Amino acid sequence: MSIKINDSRHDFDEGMTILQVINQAGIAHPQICHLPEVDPIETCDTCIVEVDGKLVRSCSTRAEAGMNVQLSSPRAKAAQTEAMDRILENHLLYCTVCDNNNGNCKIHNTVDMMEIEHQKYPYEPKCTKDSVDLTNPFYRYDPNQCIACGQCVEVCQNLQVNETLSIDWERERPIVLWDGGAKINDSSCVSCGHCVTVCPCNALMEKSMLGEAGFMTDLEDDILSPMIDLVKDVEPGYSGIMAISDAEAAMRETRTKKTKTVCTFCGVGCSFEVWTKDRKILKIQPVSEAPVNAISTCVKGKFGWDFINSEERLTKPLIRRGEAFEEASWEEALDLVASKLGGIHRKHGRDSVGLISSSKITNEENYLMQKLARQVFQTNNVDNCSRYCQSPATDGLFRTVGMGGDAGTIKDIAKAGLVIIVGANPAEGHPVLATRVKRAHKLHGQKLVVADLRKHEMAERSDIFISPKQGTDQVWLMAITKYMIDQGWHDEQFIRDNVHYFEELKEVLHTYTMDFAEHITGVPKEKLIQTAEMIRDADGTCILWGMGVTQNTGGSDTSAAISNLLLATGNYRRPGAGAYPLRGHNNVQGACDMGTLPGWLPGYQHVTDDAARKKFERAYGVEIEEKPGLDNIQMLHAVDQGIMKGMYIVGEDMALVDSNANHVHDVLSKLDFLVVQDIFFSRTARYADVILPAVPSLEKDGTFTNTERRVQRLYQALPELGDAKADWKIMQEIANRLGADWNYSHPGEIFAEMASLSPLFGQANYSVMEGWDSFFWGSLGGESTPLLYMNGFNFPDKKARFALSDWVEPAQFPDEFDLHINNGRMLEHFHEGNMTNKSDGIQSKVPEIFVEVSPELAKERGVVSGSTVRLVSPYGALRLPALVTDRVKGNELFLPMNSVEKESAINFLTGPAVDQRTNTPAFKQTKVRMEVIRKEGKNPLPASNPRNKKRHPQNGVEVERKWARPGYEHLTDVEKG
Amino acid sequence: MAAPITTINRREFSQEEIQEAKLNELQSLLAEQEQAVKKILAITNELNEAGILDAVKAMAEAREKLAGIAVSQASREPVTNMINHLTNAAGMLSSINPETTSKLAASVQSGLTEAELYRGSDTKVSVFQMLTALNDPDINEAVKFSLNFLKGMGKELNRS
Repeated sequence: MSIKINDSRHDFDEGMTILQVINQAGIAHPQICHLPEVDPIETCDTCIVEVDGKLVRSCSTRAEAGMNVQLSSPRAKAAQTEAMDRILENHLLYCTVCDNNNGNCKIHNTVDMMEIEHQKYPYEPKCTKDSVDLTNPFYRYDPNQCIACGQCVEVCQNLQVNETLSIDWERERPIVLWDGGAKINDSSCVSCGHCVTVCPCNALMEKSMLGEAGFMTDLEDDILSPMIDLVKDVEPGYSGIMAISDAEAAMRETRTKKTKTVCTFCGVGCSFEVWTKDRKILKIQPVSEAPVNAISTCVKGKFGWDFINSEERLTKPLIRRGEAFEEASWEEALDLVASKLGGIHRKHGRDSVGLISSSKITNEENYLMQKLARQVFQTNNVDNCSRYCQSPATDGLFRTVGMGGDAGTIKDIAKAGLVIIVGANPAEGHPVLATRVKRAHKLHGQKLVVADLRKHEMAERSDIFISPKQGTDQVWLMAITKYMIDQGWHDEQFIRDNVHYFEELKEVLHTYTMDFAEHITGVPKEKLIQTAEMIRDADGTCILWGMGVTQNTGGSDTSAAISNLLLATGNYRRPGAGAYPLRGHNNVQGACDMGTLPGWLPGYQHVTDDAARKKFERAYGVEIEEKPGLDNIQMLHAVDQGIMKGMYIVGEDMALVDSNANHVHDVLSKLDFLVVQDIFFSRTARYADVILPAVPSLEKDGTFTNTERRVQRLYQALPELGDAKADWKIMQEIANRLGADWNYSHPGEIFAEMASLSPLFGQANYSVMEGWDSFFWGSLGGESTPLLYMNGFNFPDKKARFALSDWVEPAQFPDEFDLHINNGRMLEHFHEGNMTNKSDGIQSKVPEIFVEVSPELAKERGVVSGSTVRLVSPYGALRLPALVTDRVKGNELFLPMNSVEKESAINFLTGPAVDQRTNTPAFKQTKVRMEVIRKEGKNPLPASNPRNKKRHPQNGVEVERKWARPGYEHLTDVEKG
Repeated sequence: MAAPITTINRREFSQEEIQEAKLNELQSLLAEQEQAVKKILAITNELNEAGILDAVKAMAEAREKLAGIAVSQASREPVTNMINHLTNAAGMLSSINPETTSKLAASVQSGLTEAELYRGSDTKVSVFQMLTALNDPDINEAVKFSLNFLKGMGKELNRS
């Protein structure tokens, strides 16, 4: 099918708009309010074209075969110019002294493109000068520069779906409002940055850009204002102004460095440009080409990078001498590490040394970490922090479908007819992924079921919210599976073709009736039946889960029960369906893929697999042990028993993140020699003999693998700070001092070596992942595989297996510990907060830790927000402020994990219970008793925190209200406007 | 056995050590870029002798004031008027066909030469001479051009 644009023929696909055809053909055409990520906004009218004699908006008109489209007929031109004139009435073109003049200002570029010389309606400010809203710590809004195009509103309402912004169309001069008219910092705004990113001009700007981006933008107002007035009085044609500002923008290009990077916080894998000027981070600039997030970010990814230039960064190697650490040269520190770890290894053998890798460092660095273990120390004692979170999910998937990764991509999640979220809060833990669910749910009829202890944002938005008793998810999952099979709602054909052990599964499910589930979980069976009906009716079901499932004694079996349910209902091997464990760190998936696991070589080749092991033995020139090494937990036991004497821990704050931290501290003290490599002086580093200063993601090249199994490159944006070095360089130095002969000069070479040994990555290399391109592992043939299992499940016979396990009961506590304490992430802080707590802006929103107490419990115990309470578990005690909120209920407490203090960090309460199959600590199974120490105190959550505010949902920008304004004259010929 | 410690003794460098390190760094930079540095020194010497450095220094020190003066001067109405004149004049010139202007310039030049030729003579020009002169094809062309020019100018004046 084709249409004619300016008399030449252009092909299009069904459903495309005229504007999409124009853009696909690369024809320059004005489109101020067009955003590919959302539905047509239709406020700016600059994209108007003449179609068969009629003026229409090209952004919202579908292309139809045979259309004759004129982009610059006299009538079309006149309409576009009038539209632009209406815009310029609201915006002053002081481009040369504007911080948004960086070559990508949409208004500037459109004026340029349309060759506009003068404006018909003179600029008039809408508000007084002091109406610029500077209250938010990260961005500002200047209504006097705002053109009311509503892109910010559309993304806030319908892409991020935080529902804070609106346009006051009924006002004489419409402007953007927060919560209907509050100051930004006093609104429900979560500072995700979407609005700032899409603003086509400088009305919404990152504060970090102000006075910094341009050569002449740091002028005092008493010079700036007369200068702008001068330009106005002189009234030159705009082409003159544009030429000067273009020249100035070109100068900025030489100074502002723009580097593609991949976010270092959660596992969603957002990528964006980071703009830097020397070491200063000017801003994070998301782009539509970013494959996971496009223009989306959360507060951390957009604004949380202050830690990079923190004074607290480690910049010199440190060596323990007596009662203090002393700065040392790299030579001295590395020689000491090599001689001590090497000495321990020689004297006590392979079991005496253990390595712990990190989910924050790159794939290449993880690969080298396991190589260091296996080649240099000839041990399989290497593990990473997925042991604390994701191993049970991986185990559940390995058992059932054969690959330890998400079944599809974020697009499948957006596309699913039903999303079920179990024990996870993506709105805070995986914010950008959550936006896709929120959007699909708000606009596209997707159904949402949430099972969680807490009534968090996703629960509030859900169609069905169930709150099973802690540790009982496996029961209701099995009950629904049984119920659906009993009702005949399962996918008989799919099971017959694809899955083993159906009869056995039915036997295991025998006791898991709806009544049993209601009895154990406390969830009314009607709700479970409704959920089963939703699965039956949905065009594709995705199940998302997190630590609320995995960090339990039955974490692995519950994960397998999720996979069983999906298998029974045919929700694999198709788009818009499948299992999605939400990986928590930027590279927790990659750390596992790269084989920093005691039982797995890179690319999920098991150490017991003779052929695979032999391959690595040949490549490494050593013998590799054929039995799995020790995991994190077992390593600590080995240290306790005096078997393990030396450890090398990279980027992992074990002393804080491991369960039962008090015990971990005792154990770390027992080591003969401990090397800690980190960017900050962590709690674990206190126990070190040598501390090696590493660098964060912005200071190195490499790749990260996100929760979708997508491998993406990051490029070095900043030089290494001080004497700190990229982790891979440090590992290479250590290895070579111990007799290895590594000669990597760039991470690309490390990746190539890994790929040559791992069939899963057979066709991956740095050139297929250039720029915004990415690679999905998922086929043994090594090709990029966005959707898993399309050619069968990952078993020799291509068939999946139902896992056959009974419910694992949660850990028991003595009666005196009467309150359950849950823990998890907060949106603003990443994990325990050692990066995000370096940001003044984030700290102003969430300055301190607290424990959430339900209104019922608060009333019963005489607790108010701000009371100081003491929480005591069998393993430790904390003292911290309380926050009363109905996000929690009854005797359930919630402790966010953003604390690095012994007084308030959750793991000084958690105990030794672990998942039966993977040893992952059952962090979520902890009970405490609570003592009120002081009743009155300051509310730990500042008034400016968005949790204290009500959202203002509406149907996007609501352009109809603009069209209904008295005196509004339509520029199109079509009736609706 | 390693007790947890939180003290970090940063190596404090004395002023002399810091200075020496910086000097070393500079020294190696100088050695690397010897040619360029020599040229720059020669240029600064020239600038200094010409008194330009003094002027630049004074301007740099007074930059805020100067910018303020410049902007306030430039914003006065006579100046904005002048700038508008200049831009308008520039606009006018740019909208005229360059071929016309070059022809016109050549004609003016030829006219001047011719006029210069007869400047000394004090003979008066009679009305009859003027009328007969119209028959001269060169004079007729010039008068026609002037009349048409006046017509066009009048049109534009009437329009506004």
